[in-house]
Amino acid sequence: MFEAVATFVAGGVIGYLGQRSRMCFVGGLRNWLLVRDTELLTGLVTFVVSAWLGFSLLASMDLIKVRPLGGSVAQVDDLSIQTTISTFVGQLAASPLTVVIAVTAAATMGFLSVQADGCPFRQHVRAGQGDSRAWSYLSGFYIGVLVAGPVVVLLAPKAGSGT
Amino acid sequence: MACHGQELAAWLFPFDIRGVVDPVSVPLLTTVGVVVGAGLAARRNREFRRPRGGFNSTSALLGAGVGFAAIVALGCPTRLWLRLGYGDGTVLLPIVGLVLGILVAVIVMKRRAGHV
Repeated sequence: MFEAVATFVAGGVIGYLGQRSRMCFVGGLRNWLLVRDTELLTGLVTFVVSAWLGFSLLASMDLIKVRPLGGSVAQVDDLSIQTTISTFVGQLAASPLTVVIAVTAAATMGFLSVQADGCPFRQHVRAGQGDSRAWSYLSGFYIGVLVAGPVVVLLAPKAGSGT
Repeated sequence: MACHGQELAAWLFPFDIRGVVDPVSVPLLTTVGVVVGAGLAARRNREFRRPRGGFNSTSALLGAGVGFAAIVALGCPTRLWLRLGYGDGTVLLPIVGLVLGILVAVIVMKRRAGHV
């Protein structure tokens, strides 16, 4: 129950700020590459730097454990799909093919996100603003997300992790 | 957005999807919160538009593609950048892929617009 409330409130704050700032995790690079507009790109850089500072601060207070580069991220993933991510990350180190698949998927995601005029976060914000195209996008998005889970398990070579 | 969305979807549809997601007892409402928060912000600043136009299949297809790719790519763009800030090396290459994908899309857009 705590997680439900906490994520809803955090999401609400992030959504509110996202609407005001028009933050987009794809649009920053797109606008810069397209018309050399740095407004959204500044937001993206600030986001990454803030995350870095925030994680460092939490780690210095011993609230989280920061793993070395390439280590498991499961430590901060308490609220998330641990099984998929941790097995997949395990594969990543073991199998170069998985890396190729992940990178290809990321490139596809970037390409399609530009076509859709915004990253998934931006689409959620647009939906909140009453954009019917964003609602159509989200309906597809959740189907894609739901289908992808089992496919990832099928794709990934069998790992010994039984978490 | 994709990962918390997946948790939420798995909570809404608790059929067996091959043990991909741990049994979900509590829904993660981050994605819902973002929509509601953005709606509040839009209303307070008179930027809310009443949804017009019906179902757009192109957008839905793009959404499905992005949603699927996001799970395979270790996370949606938000999560990839967040994990980069965390110092997680496993997203370094997916980040490169994401940037390349955006670059290709921009080049295609410029070509279409006529000025290479």
